[in-house]
Amino acid sequence: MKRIFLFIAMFLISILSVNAYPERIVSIAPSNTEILFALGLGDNIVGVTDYCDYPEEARDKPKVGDFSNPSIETIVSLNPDIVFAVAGVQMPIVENLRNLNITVYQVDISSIDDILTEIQNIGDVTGKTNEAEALVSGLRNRINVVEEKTRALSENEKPKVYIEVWTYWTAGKNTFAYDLIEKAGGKNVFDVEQSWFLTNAENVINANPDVILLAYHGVYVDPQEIKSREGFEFINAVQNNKVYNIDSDAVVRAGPRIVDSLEEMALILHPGIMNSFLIEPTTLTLEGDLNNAVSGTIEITNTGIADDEISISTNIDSKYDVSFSQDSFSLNKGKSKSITVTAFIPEDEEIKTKLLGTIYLTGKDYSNSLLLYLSPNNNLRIEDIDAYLDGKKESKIDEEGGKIDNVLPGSTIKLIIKINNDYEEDVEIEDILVTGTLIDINDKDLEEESDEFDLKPGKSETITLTFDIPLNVEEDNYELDINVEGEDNNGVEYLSSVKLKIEVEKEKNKVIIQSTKINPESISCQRNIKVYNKIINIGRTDEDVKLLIQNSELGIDLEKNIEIEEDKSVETDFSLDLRDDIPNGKYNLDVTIFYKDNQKTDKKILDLSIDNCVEKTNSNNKENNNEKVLAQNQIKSEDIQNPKEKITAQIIQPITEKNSKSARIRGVLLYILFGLIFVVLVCLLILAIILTRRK
Amino acid sequence: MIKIRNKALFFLSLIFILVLTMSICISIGPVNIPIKETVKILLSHIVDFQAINQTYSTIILKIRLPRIILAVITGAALSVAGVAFQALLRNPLADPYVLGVSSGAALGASIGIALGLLSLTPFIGFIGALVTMYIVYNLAKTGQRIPVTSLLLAGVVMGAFLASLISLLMSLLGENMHKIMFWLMGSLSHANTNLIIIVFVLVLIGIIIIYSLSRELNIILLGEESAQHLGVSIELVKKILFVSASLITGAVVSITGLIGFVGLIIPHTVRLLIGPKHNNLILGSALVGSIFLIIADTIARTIIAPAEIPIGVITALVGAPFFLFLLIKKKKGLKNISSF
Repeated sequence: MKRIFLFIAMFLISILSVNAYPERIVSIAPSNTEILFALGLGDNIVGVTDYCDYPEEARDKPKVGDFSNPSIETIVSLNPDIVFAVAGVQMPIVENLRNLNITVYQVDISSIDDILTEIQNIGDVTGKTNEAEALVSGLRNRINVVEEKTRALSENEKPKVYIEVWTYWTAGKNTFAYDLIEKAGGKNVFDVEQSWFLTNAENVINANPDVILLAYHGVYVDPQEIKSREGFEFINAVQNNKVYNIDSDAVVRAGPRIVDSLEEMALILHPGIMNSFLIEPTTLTLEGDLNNAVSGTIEITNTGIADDEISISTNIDSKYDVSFSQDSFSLNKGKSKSITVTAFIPEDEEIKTKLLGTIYLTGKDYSNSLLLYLSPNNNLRIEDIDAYLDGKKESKIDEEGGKIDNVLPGSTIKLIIKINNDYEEDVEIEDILVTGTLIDINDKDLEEESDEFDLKPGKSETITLTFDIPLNVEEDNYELDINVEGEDNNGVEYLSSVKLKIEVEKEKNKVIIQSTKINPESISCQRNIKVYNKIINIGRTDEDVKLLIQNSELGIDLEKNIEIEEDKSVETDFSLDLRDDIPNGKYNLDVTIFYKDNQKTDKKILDLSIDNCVEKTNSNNKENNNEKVLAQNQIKSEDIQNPKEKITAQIIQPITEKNSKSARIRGVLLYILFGLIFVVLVCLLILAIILTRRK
Repeated sequence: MIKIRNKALFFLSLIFILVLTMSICISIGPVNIPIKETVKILLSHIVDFQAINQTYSTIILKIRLPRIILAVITGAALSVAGVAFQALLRNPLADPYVLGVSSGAALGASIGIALGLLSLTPFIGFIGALVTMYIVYNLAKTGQRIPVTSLLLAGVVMGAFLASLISLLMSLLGENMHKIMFWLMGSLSHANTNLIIIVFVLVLIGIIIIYSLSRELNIILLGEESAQHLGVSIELVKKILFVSASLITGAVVSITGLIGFVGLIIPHTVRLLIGPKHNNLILGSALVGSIFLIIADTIARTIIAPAEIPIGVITALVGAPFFLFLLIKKKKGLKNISSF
C-alpha cells in the first residue's frame, strides 16, 4: 500500500513539476519535520506545525497550525510541491489536500524499523536518496550495536522497566517506548495490548520495576518526588536509586532521534555493557633478564556506544615498579589506544613465570582488567635432548619434551641432555644437577642423577642419563621429568624442567629366562649339581612353557612343563647326577624355553667345568657354603623387591599330577574328619541339654 | 413506593453495608493479600501483632485505605451536595456541578497543570472553586436576595464560560492538553494523606451544616413564600446552603477531578427508597454515595488491570442504568420527584 502511495507521489511529482524533485515542502507532523531536517532539507521546508520544535531552526519556519487540525488555507498559500503528513489520524486532512491537487506523502510508521524505511522513502521522494542511505545505515548501525550487546542477555539480566509520561500514565505494547525498552535490553513491567494507559500505585508496586524512567513532556521531574510516593520504598528501582528522566519527545516521536533514546535507555539499563572497552591481549607477559626493566604494549578499544574516560591502576607490589605510558585518558567511541606497560624485574626474582597481579582499567560505568605475568629469562637452559631406546634414536624427543613409544619391559632408555648457560658474561652458574625421574613405576619413582657441575657464561655441558625399565612393569603411560637446577654466584636459583612421556607396551607373547644358574659351577669328585632357573612371563597372555636343559656330551636331556600366568615368574630347579666317566673339561648346558605352542623360544647357556677329583673335600665345602650364601642372598633380594610375586610364584610351583591327586584325597579326608568331630560334639551337647532338663 | 418503615434499621444496615464494602474492597487489588493479613494490618494499631508484612502493611494502609477513605468522602460530599442543590434550586436535574463551582476548580487545576505546578494543583483548584463561587454569588445577588432563577442562570453560564476557558487552555497547550484531559476524567488514585485529612474535615463540616438545615430544606421545598410564612429566614438559609454545598464540591473536585453522575443519581435513588424527608435523605445519600463510589472505584482499578478506567466512566455506566431500573420498578416514586 505504502509503495503504491510512493509510486503515485513520485508520479505526481514527475508530471506536476518541471524540476524532478520538490523544492517547497510542508510538514504537518513534528516527526516528519525532524526527518526532513536530518536529510538536509531544512532550506526547502516552507511550513511546519506549531509543535515542530526540533531542531531549533524548525521553530523559525512558518506555522500552519496544530498537528490534528492544520490550516488548509495556510498550506495552500505556501504553494508546496509536496506535503508530508502521517498515516491514520491525518487521513481527513490528506483527503482535503489531495482534492486541492496538492501532492501528499503519508508517512506510515508503526515500529522502529518503519522509521528507517520511511526515512529512505522520504529521501527517495525528495531526491536525497544518498543522504537517506547514509542516515539510515548510520542509524541502523547504532541500533545494531545496542541490539548485539543486549542479545546475549538472559531474561534474568533484563531489568523490569516502568516508564511514566504523566502521573501513573505508562506505556503498553503499542508504543515506541515499549519497543525501545525491549531493544535496550529491558522488560516493560506491563505487558498489555494497549498504547499509553493509566495505571495506579499498587500495580506499580506489585510489578516491582528495577528501573523507573520518567518521560514527562517538557517537565523535569525530581526523582525524589517519585521515590517519596507511598509504598514506593519497596520498589527495587527506588531502593537502588534507579529513577531517571529521559527526553520524552525522542521517545514518542517517530524520527531519527528515537535512536538517541534507544542509546540513552540502553546506557541507563545496562551501563556496564553499553559502555564497554576491549583490552588486547587479555593477559600480558613481560619477559626479560633479572635486574632489568621490561615492557609490553596493550591496546584498548572503546566498543561501547558512548565516549569514555579511562583510568589505569594496578594492585602489583611496588618493588616491580609497574608504570604506564598514560595513567588516564579519554577514549571516544569506536577509537583505540595503545598503552605501554613497563615493569622492573628485581635481581632476586625467582626464575619462573609468575602472576604479578591485575591491571585495572576503569571507565565511567565499566571496568575491565588484564593479568600481568612476569617471566624472567631462564638462563640455565636445556638446549637439546636426544633419547635412545635400546640404542635406537627417538625422533619425537627434543628440548620441549616429547613421547617415547613402544617401550618394552626390560628396555633401556638413554637420554643425552645438553645444558647451556645463556648469560653472555659475568654470571657463572654453579652446582648444576640434572635429575631424571621416571614417576610411579611399580608404585615408586625411578630416579637418575648426574654429577654436579658448573657452567661458565656461554658454555654448555652434555649429560647422559640411563633408565632401565623393570621387567615387571605394567602397561601404561609414564612420565619422565627432567629437572635442571643450579645457582649463580649472586645466589639466584635456576630451575628448568622438561617432561617426557614414556609409553610402555608389552608384546602379546613374551616369556624370558630372567636368570639361570648352575651350582656349583665347577665340580671335581662330586657328581651332583643343581640348576636354578627363574622364568618370567612379560607378555600379555598366560603361557604354557616347556623348559629344556640339554647337553648331549653329558647325556643330559631334562624337560619340564610349567604354566606361567601373565606378569608372574616361576622359579624352578633341577638336580642333576652326572655319570662318573665324564672326562674333565668345560661343558655348556643349554637352558631353553619354548612357549606359544613351541613357536617362540628363549635360550641361555650355562658353563660347567669338571676338574680332577683331588681337592675334593675343600672345594666341596667351599662350594656348598657359597651356594647357601648365594641362595639366601637371592631370596633376600627378591623379598625386598617383590614380596608378593615371590609368594604367588611359590604357590604356582609345578606339581606332578600324582602329587596333586594324593593331596586332594588328603584334603577330603581332613574335611570328613572335621565333620565327624563336629557331629559328635553336637550330639554330646544335645545329650547334655536333655540330661539337665530331666533333672 | 415501598416505604422503608424502620428508618433506624435502614441506616444501621447501610452502615453495616458500608463497613462490609470497605473491608471487602480493601482486600481486592493486584497484590494478593490474604484476608487474615488484611485484618491483622487494620487492627495493628489497636492490638500489637508480631510479624506484620511491611509491604502489605504499606499497600493496605497507605495506598488502599486512603483511596477508599477518599471514595467515602467524595461519595458522601457529592451526594449531599446534590441533595442540597436539588432542594435549593427546586430542580430535579440539579447536581453539584450545575452552578459552575466544579468548572472553577477544574480551571484552577488546569492552570496549575499548565504551569507545571503539579503538587500545588489541588490548592489552585480549590482557589478556583472559591473564586467561582464568589462570582456566581455576586452575579445572582439581587439586593439582599438570591433568587433561585438568577442563581441557576448565573451558575450555568459561569460553568459554560469556565469550560470554554479550559478548552482554550487545552488548545493553547497543544501537545500538553492530554494532561488536563487526564485530570478532568477524574481519579481517586493520587491523593496524599494530608490532603485527604483536610478535605475530610471540610466535607464533614459541610455535611453537618447541611444536615442541621434539613428541616429548613423540607420547608423550602414547599415554596419560598410558605417558608417565610413558617418563619424561616429563607435568604440566610439559601446563602448558607449555597456556600457549604459549593465548598464541599470544590474541595472534593480539586483533588479527584470531575466524577460525574454521583451527585445526581444518589439523591434520587435514596429518595425513592426512604422518601423526601431531608434529615433521612442527607444521611442516606451520604452512606449510599460512599458505598457506590467505593464499588465504582474498585471496578475502575481492577477490571482491566494493570490499566485503570477513569472512575467517571464507571459511575455513569453503572449509575445510569441502575437509576433507570429503580425509576421503572418503583414508578410511584415519581410522585415524590414531581413534588418539588
